[in-house]
Amino acid sequence: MLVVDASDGSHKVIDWTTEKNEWLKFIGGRGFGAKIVWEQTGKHTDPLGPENVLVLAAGPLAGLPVPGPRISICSLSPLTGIWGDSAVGGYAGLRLKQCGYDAVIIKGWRKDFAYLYVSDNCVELRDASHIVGKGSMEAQEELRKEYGNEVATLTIGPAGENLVLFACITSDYGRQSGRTGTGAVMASKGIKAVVLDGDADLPVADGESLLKLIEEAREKIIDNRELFEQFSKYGTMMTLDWAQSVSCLPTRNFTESIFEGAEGISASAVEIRVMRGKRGCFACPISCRTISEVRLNGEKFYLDGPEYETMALLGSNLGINNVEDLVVAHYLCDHYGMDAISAGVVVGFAIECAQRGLLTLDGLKAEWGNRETIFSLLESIAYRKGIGGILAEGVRRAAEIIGGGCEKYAMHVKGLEQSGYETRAAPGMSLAYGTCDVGAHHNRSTIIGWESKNDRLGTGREKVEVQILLQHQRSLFDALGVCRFPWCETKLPFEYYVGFYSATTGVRVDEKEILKASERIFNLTRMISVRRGVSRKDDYPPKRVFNEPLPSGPFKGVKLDPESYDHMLDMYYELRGWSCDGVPTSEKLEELGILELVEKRM
Amino acid sequence: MPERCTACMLCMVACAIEHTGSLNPSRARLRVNNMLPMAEITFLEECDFCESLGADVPACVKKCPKGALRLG
Repeated sequence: MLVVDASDGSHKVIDWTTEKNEWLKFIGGRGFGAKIVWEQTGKHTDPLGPENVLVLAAGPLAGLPVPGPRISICSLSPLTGIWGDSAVGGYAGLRLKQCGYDAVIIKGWRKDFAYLYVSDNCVELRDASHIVGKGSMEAQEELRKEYGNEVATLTIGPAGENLVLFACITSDYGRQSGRTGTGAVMASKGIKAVVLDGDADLPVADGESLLKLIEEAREKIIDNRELFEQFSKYGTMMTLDWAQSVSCLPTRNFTESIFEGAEGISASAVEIRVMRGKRGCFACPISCRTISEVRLNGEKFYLDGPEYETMALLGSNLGINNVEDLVVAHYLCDHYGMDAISAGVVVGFAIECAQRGLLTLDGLKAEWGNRETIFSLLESIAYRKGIGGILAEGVRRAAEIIGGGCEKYAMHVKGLEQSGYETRAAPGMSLAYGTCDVGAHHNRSTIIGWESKNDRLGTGREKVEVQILLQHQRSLFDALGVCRFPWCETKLPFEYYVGFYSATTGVRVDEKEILKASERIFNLTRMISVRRGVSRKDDYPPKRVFNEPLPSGPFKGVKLDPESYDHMLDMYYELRGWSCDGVPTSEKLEELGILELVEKRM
Repeated sequence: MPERCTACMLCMVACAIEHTGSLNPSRARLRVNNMLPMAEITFLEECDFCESLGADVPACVKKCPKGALRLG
């Protein structure tokens, strides 16, 4: 693990294998990030201050070539004040490992921006004056001109530089470590970009077995012909049609769950009107990413997108009913370097509040789907101009600043804006958002898929059990350092990942043990947030879910009953071995082998 | 057919495995550049289309999941 001080580029390498057992129980990637953030930050650490750490952790399978290497970027989140992490795909995970590191930890801060250059024999802060102020992809282009195309770059855009609290970190041609404001942390340390210039062989315990397993897995993915071809062609875009059909598509700031304009932002609309190509991550046969043509102010750009989340949060959530405007909105978020999900929620909030007379939009019309309003607001947020300066604080803080009761319309949990599922008629998904460790994000659980097929409105025990399993299974991939789509989208059996892990590391584990490690990580990230003040009160979906019945669609009149939710939450804590205030008990921590670790730094 | 290329680099991995026994794509004799809108595929001087291995189809062509490479 490479530790770099942002103030002067001084660095050291930590050989974690000298304490192998202490680290291996966290697997790697997000798990390493959790241990590092737990040990190196505290109750009062300022997320934008020099004491926060920014961990770029790749995971044992990244680069190997298991489909889709990922880096988990972990820190204390400036947006939520608690544990934050967001993974990014493309090729960055490969190159980080090829520099010889499992993780890069950036500490300290500097006033003037620099960029961090890392190769297998050089670690240096370099002059960033030629890229400061540039968009995140523009900055990447500049760096590639200098270093060639075999490097991976992690860049921030103007939103990051201006400390928009949901600024993101961009890799490749638009892949994002999107959520929780990782870009703002990077900016607070004065780092405009990280260049990963490595080409080394990666160590593998049993290369022959690994290769055999990888080839077998790839064949299995491709042989699942229909699913493989559909997911290769459309990626997650098909989810828009699905969400509309099961009535959970966020529409106009989550006021409704179906959108009359869905056709115009659907996967087929994208295919017919703007799609120009497909892309996949390193070593993945599934090309789930779409490349779209974007027309803006007479110029043409290319976008890595859209995908379901942006179609939902920048599309239906803002009343945008055509792909041409949708791809511009998505492109702007990528260019400015800010989380498209958070931006979509914040802009939706602004439009609804303006319509209700609770704020003004600096002369812009408070109209759903109005492109001038939406594109201008995105720019104002990125540059913290006018109302944008308030919105850049995230929807929770913006609502506090604006007042007038508008927190009723602020869709977030723990300060993280809600991602693309409207949940008034989906109690399990409400619980998923309530209990996801970073806030209202679906990466830990998209139980709404299971819910729609099995028991949509129920609040029983089985649903909670499925939830917890999903939270462990899905987040495991962030510790392994690879994409979960081959498993959860094209149905590659989970055992392959257990096999990949054993063959790569030489550590024999079974599915039960590896999921236990995932549970361990989940409990540690919970403790990080508990130390920062999180408890039961923070594990609830937004107020709208309890207070406003759905106004339309097949679930018209439905809202979530608070007592039923409380009952589910009680079951969740009980099954997790947490207190009824949502704190992991000593028994649970002991069972997971982290009691001592937690007590040392509580 | 570079318009089919999705920049997965499985061709580079296949090349590296065939010629060096390593899983490292940096050892491959071809390079995929993930430019937009179309990826760029270039062959290094060392590439002999796997002739020296006596293969009728080069490893990269065989392993491309999108049919983006073609001999000839």
